[in-house]
Amino acid sequence: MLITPALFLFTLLIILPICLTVFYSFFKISFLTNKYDFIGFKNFYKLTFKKEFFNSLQIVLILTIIAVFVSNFIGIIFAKLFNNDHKLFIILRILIFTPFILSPIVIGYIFVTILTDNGILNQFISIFNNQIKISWLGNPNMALISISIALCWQLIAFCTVIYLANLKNIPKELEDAANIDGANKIQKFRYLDWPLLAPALTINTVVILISSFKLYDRVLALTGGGPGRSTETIAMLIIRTAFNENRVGFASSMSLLLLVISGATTFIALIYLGKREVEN
Amino acid sequence: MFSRQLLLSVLLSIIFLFPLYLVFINSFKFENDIINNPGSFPEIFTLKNYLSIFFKSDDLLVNSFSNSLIFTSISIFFVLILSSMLAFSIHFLNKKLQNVIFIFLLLGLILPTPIILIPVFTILKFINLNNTFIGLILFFSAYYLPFGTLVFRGFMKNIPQEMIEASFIDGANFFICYYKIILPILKPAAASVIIITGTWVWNDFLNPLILLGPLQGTTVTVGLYRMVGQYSINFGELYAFMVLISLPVLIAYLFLQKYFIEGLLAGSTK
Repeated sequence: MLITPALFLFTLLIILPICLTVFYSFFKISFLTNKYDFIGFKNFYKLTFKKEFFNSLQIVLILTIIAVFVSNFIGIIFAKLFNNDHKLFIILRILIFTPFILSPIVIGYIFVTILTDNGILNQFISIFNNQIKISWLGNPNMALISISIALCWQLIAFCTVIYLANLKNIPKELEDAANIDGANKIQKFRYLDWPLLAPALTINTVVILISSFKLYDRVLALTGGGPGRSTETIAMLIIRTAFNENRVGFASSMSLLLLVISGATTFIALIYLGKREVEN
Repeated sequence: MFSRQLLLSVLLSIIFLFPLYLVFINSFKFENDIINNPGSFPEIFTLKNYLSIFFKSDDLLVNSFSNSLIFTSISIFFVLILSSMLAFSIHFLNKKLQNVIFIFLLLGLILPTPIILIPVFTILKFINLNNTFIGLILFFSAYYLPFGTLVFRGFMKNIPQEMIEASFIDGANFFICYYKIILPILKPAAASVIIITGTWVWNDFLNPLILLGPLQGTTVTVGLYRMVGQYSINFGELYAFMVLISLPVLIAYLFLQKYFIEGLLAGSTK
């Protein structure tokens, strides 16, 4: 009764599309002619020769790994630092979260104005040294680093807040006990905070995984996938193949693979990190 | 010890938030001032950037702002109603069915949208809702349903079973029980759902870009993208546009930040 409208909408626009993605990947489809030709596994066969697909996969993989490590690492440092009930720290905590509130495309353009060739960062560098001209977005390797900076900036904000919430749940007595036992800072972190922060690590890692798999807007604003196609993410490749090149079936086969990869990765992370939580 | 911690925290926060400072401060500067000293306070304070994007001939700012405002509020409304109803009615199903629904909801929660965007586009086209705001709103409502339901579900656990049973004995039906008893209790959770889904919907770029198509009215994010593409843009106007379109979510966050973080934790720990 009350359940039907919600479940109907969810099935129609989330579950059915997942099934249709599987279905479409066996067809050759064009949005223009609306023709559906069954071609079996041909899309997947073609995909094995598609260099761009593997390039995008590699880019997303690199960005994901960087994001998981950097955001969690800096997030924990920030959280440990801001974990204080003084008024000033509360204000800092509120401020530090703001990057997460902003739209990814806004973040992309913020970093564009900072990182373009005559952008703010290069202007700043030229005050000290006129010789160095770094092309932050024009060089493929640099562009990847720039994208990961923009990505991590937002994710650090998120990680910090989640770790802070987790730190609040750690009983004060534990730290006192560790102090009495004469544990040093590194020991305290290794044997006290790190295991007890497991729930936050799980949440953060999963959120980072999801946001890197759907990475689109930031990269579009920052590099547009360029230079060349060197920073094109899978999401960008799928959208371009489907809506610009009108190869809908082929794009669906990429979606299906992305679905399997992202699903498997998230699932494994959840199981592995979840197990860690229980062990502690 | 304390002052050292504070000093370090403030210093790191300043470095971390420096990009935001840049955007804000440079939106009040003339172009050559931005190029010459981007980091400093404006030499001459000006509202020129804000005025010029406001009076652009195609009304990009005003149009995209009102569009976003309308479809974001309607989407939030739908998410609120649908997910609270779902969270409430799941309560009465047997355990097995509950778990099946939850697995599907979790799948929806971790699903990156680009994967399903092609079929969503064809489905909306099939029911003649492609390139309309209604289609976009329906998609957002479906996409954020899992999040809303999980937040409400966590809250619903605190409602004593006797209370619901008592209302049925008193002759209330499902709908009255939902409306009179459940909804008022869910108010704090509703605040979380409103601020979080509101932010996500407002900020979303790819879904409106694809589902609204090139001809329909723009949203704030698509508007920003168009603006960069259309005009030979200068930094000042770009900054002013970004400040204006981020303002609603920032204000909402500052006022409701407690609910924002509680909601994120409630939704993600499930």
